[in-house]
Amino acid sequence: MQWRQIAVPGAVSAAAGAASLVPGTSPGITITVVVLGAGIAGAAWTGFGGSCLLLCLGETIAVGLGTASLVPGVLFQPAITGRVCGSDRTSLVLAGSTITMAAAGVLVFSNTLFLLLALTVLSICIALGLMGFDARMGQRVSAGGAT
Amino acid sequence: MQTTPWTGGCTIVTIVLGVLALYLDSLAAVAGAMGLTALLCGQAGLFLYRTARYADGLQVERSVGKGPVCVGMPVEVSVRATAPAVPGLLVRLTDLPPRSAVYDPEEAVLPREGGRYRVRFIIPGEVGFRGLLLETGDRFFSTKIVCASSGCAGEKITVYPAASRISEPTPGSDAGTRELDRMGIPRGEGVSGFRPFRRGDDASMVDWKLTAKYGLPFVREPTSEVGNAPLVVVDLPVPGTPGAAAVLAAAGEAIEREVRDQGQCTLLLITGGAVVDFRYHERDLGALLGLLSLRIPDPVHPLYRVLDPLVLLERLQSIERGLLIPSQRLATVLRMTLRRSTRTAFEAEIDHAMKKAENRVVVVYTASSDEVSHLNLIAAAARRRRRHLVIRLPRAVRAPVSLLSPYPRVEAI
Repeated sequence: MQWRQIAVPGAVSAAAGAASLVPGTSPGITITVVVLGAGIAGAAWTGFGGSCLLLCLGETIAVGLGTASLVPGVLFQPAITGRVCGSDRTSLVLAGSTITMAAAGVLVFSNTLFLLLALTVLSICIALGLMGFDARMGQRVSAGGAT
Repeated sequence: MQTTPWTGGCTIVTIVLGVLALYLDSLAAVAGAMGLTALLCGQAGLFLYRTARYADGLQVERSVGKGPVCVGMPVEVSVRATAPAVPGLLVRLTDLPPRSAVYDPEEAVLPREGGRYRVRFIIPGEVGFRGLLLETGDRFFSTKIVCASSGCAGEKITVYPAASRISEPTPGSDAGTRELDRMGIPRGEGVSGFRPFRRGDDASMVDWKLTAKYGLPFVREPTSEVGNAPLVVVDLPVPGTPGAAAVLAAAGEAIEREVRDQGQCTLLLITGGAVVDFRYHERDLGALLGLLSLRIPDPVHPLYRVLDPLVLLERLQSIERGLLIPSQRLATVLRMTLRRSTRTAFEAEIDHAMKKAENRVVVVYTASSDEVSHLNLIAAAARRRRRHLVIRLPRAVRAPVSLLSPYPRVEAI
């Protein structure tokens, strides 16, 4: 665990948390506090430290930009992809396009509840489809076992 | 398909953003959550596509040893796997020998799509390799698939029983492979001497007269048809073993003495838990001495910490009498082990050799220092066959004495 890498976002999160206690604080600060707090918890759990926190920081910035104006927030998403997906070109292009297009969905449908419901349902459907594909592939490749 | 900590981190952030979006009615947070979800779904699809492409194109060429494969014999398996290049996918291939084979799983991992490892087959018959264990992974996902298609499993091979191993008779020798159809052991008419009773000795051989006279149990040592010529067992040492040269030299002297005095020598060569060769009444001294060499180190240990049944029985009795910390589980395991009727291929071969050789005395030359299971099995076989067993060790080897069966006499070379 890279405790030094956790220390800086932890300090930022603590400061933002203290600021959020002041009456009349904007929702952006609350988001910052919660996302960075979740990032620190996630980093401690996964052991990834800085990488996980960078993802959280990227999302915090994207949400912060999106709170002011949605378009910059959406356009910032590919920057997060670059950090998350590493150097593999195919993976990078696919991830950049999917993350930007999905985030751009908010520009078309501006109803939060509807979007969250759609997100949940689509996630479940895609996960089930991928699990089915995975099982079928496993069966096909494992066919014809020996003694 | 398993997830990695990266996926866990992304999922946590997505859930947090979703909850925040619901709580604060923030479209920006929804955008973040949707983006990360799409990222994970896309990466999962890409990972599965890449894995399927790799697995479909995987082909294996496998060669098993040279010549016929026998039970208990270490065999080298050479594997060469060819697969399409899939960038961005980490791949690890592990060969899967038949379930009845003994091998080191770490050795079966193929470095760079090809490799070699050793395996021992313990059941005769037609067996087939199970294929390859394909482990793939990227930053977000990993999976394990057994590729058992015909392209990966290969053709079946035939494992011959250990008894069918053929030893070539050497020129000038009519001994070697002739099977004697004799049952039982010639016990002899007379008595060659007496010695103090040792655990495991046949109670019928106790000489009660001497026992009463000296207050210690003594047993008779009967003469046999083959006189006092010993069956020489040589445990071929690996290079670098302390006392290896001394063992080979002492065994060579013993063989030379036997051939000079008796005109022949019966020699059993073993390497740890495997029988390498058995020469029955061999008269060619050169051929016998030529067999004494250092063996190739074999990391596969078919036997592991096998104790003599006498020791196990003693432990069981100690538990039952309450002398050891009572453990019903241990006692049950010991009872089951003592009751087991199946024997390993090594035990069967040793038993066969002792039955055929008839020699009253068995002398084992060994430099084994870490694993003495095979010596304990030889001791158990000698006791069953009522042979007098002597284990000769180099002075440098001290460690295994405490692990050895109590039955044999241990001498320093």
